[in-house]
Amino acid sequence: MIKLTIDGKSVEVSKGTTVLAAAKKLGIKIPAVCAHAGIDTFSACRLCTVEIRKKGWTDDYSKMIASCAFPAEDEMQVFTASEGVIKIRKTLIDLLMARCPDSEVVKGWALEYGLLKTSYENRKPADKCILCATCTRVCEKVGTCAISTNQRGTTKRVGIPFGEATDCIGCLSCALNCPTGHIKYTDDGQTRKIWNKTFEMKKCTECGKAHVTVDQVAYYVKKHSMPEEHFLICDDCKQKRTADTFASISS
Amino acid sequence: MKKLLAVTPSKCIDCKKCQVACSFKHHESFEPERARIKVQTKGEEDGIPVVCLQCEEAACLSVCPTGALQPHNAEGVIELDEEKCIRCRACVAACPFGNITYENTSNKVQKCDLCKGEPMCAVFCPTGAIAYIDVPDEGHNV
Repeated sequence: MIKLTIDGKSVEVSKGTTVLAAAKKLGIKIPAVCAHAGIDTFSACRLCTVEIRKKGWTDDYSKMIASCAFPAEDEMQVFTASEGVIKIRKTLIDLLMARCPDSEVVKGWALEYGLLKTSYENRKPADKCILCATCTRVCEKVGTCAISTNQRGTTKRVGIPFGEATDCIGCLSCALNCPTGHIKYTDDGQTRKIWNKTFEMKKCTECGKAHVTVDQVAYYVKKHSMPEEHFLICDDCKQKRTADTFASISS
Repeated sequence: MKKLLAVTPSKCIDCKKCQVACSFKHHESFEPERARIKVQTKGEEDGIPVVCLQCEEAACLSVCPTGALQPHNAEGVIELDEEKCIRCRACVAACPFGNITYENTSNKVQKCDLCKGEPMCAVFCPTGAIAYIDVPDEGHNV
């Protein structure tokens, strides 16, 4: 076990635990946008930056680290809201405001740190993407790897390779996990559109509700060797059917 | 000791108190449509409560890509770790019984966790249609 102190409170965690997870154990909240327990660590947003002082370091020396990736060490001292940390966080949010001037989510973070407007020039044209890559990592976890970050530097963006969403199955995981609502999709109950691709929906054979895309079913059947019958009816109708089965068993 | 919810459909009077109790436990509001248990109305004062069966070979568990759905714990419950869930909803599509759902208000997948040991649906069921019972280690029922 590793024993460290965070903002003066001591906590014990197992080896390999990140500073962010250790802080969470103490109930100390560190803002972290791109950190997600279900996907690989990426350390893109840097909002979880904290100040640390390791064992043996002199009192006048400290370091800034990304707490989502940095493993906790024995006798480490962590400061989650020191002057330096707040200064870095404010600068990052200031930059994000210039990057995504229309994002209500970013504006919310800014207000928390008393920032009303950016001190930089707004990006033009701007969208709501903060390049946290949550979408691409989620897509990777689903196993489809349909989207990725394209290009580098100031032109870096999230998207589909070569303008075609060949591998996308239309599961919407990217859009549902996007922290700023940048990824848009439409679903009119007949077709679903995302990443410039239109998906045919599988309709429930009992109530007619479109519940999954045809591509999703093909993907799950192939990946998990599941019977296609599992996907014929929607979850509501499955539940009704379960009730009917209960009734026939108990009567 | 494994414990499970035992449902006796013949005792159900379709009052939906289980749904109300479930929604209050998990969402702190009385919204029966957001419950994890659902009573399927069969007639006047006649219903069948349907809830996660905590299957031994669970389809939801086998399709989860992140390990958010964790294998049966000591009490025999498949629990969903919301922090690990990436809302791909493969589990929702895969469950053959329709007992794991995507909840649109909170935008989260939800499934019965037996209220971590004290299922409110069983506590509030007025007729005993839903009961929380001990099962022998070998046995598994609904």
